[in-house]
Amino acid sequence: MESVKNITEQNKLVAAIKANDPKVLQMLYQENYGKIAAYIFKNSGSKPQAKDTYQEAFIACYQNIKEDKFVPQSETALQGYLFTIAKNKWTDYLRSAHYKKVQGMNEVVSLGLEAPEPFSSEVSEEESNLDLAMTGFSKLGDECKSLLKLFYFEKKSMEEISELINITDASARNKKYRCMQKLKTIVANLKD
Amino acid sequence: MTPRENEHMQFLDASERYLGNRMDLAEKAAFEEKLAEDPILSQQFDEHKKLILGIESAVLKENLDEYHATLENDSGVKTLSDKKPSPYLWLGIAASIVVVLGLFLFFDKNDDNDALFATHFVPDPGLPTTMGTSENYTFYEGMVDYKREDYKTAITKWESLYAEKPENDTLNYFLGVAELANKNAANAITYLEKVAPVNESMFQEEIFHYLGLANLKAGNMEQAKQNFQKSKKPESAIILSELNN
Repeated sequence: MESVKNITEQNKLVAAIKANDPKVLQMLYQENYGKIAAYIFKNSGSKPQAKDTYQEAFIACYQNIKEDKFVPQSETALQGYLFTIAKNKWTDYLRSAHYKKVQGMNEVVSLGLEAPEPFSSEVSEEESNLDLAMTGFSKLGDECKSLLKLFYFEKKSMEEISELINITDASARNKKYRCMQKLKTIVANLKD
Repeated sequence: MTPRENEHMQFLDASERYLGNRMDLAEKAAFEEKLAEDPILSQQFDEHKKLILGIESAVLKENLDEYHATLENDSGVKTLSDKKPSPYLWLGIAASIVVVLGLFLFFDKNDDNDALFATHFVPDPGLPTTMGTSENYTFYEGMVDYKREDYKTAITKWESLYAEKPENDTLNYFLGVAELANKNAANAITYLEKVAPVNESMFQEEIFHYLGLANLKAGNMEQAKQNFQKSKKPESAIILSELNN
């Protein structure tokens, strides 16, 4: 019965992440960094590299949860999943052309990693659309950013938002629509 | 807005209700059927869904640096190593907790109100700190300090804004809670009382809850009770019942 309870815990965790619960996201981030950083340090990574790799993995993990590509199956499923994504990302980086160039071709790097699987992290079209949306968002003006953030990330209602930014409900809705159209245009231009 | 735009907006609103599970079964079925019949709508739906996830991911990405900053501040995590922390470390932590707890009990043994305050006072978790607008910059900078429990620095930063916006309810509220966390109940009461009559404040319930706590801490029992009664927070009701026992 213990494992059933733990899976329930995992499901709760997943539900909280889907709802963008800031406390849960922060806890998940902070609790798992140590183990992953230790792995990257052991495999010739630096502190900034550990941070970047971990953050990329964290976002990938978040996106997969949101898109129901990850379903917890054991008590530490999510934590293990996050570790695996980070580990794979670091392995890919070490095999990448950039890293080899930096290291020099003749240097023997013994990392104790599994046999190479080239192109394992090739970015799919779906992923790159997400990346484009992320880049597009960062190019939006502050007003649109705040509004979209309040609505889509913090899940505030239109009523709450209109109160917060002191405009009518109708103009908040209108503004949100305009901001989304703007974002769409930016993303379309990025694709070209 | 043109009728066409209006229709498009309504479709996107429906998509969001669908994604947020806010449709009843009949509406949900009708929406799914509509998508199945119309490939253009279906594509627009997919695009919209991706865009939303992109926004959420971008905001999360901004927040990660903040999570990381608090991580680096935490000396326990700074010196990472492969090994598990030495058992002596845990022993040390356990010992300090015992000592702190002991001191706490020693000083507070004869003061039920203080003990009640200490049991129930949890500072407001604070606001997310990535709003990019420059006028709010100092405020959110203070919020980062506040979240790191560096209440003194947060108070100093917010006080500089207070001179310009003495009526701002958010500012008064967080200054009040920070003062209370910094064990200065009298200042907390001044800030919180100022905004308590603001009916439309989004912090209404919290203001009365913290005003209750501040008065409890200051030993003003009647005011404490009155404020707990005005707050609709379940925590307030719990303290109130303990006070009335």
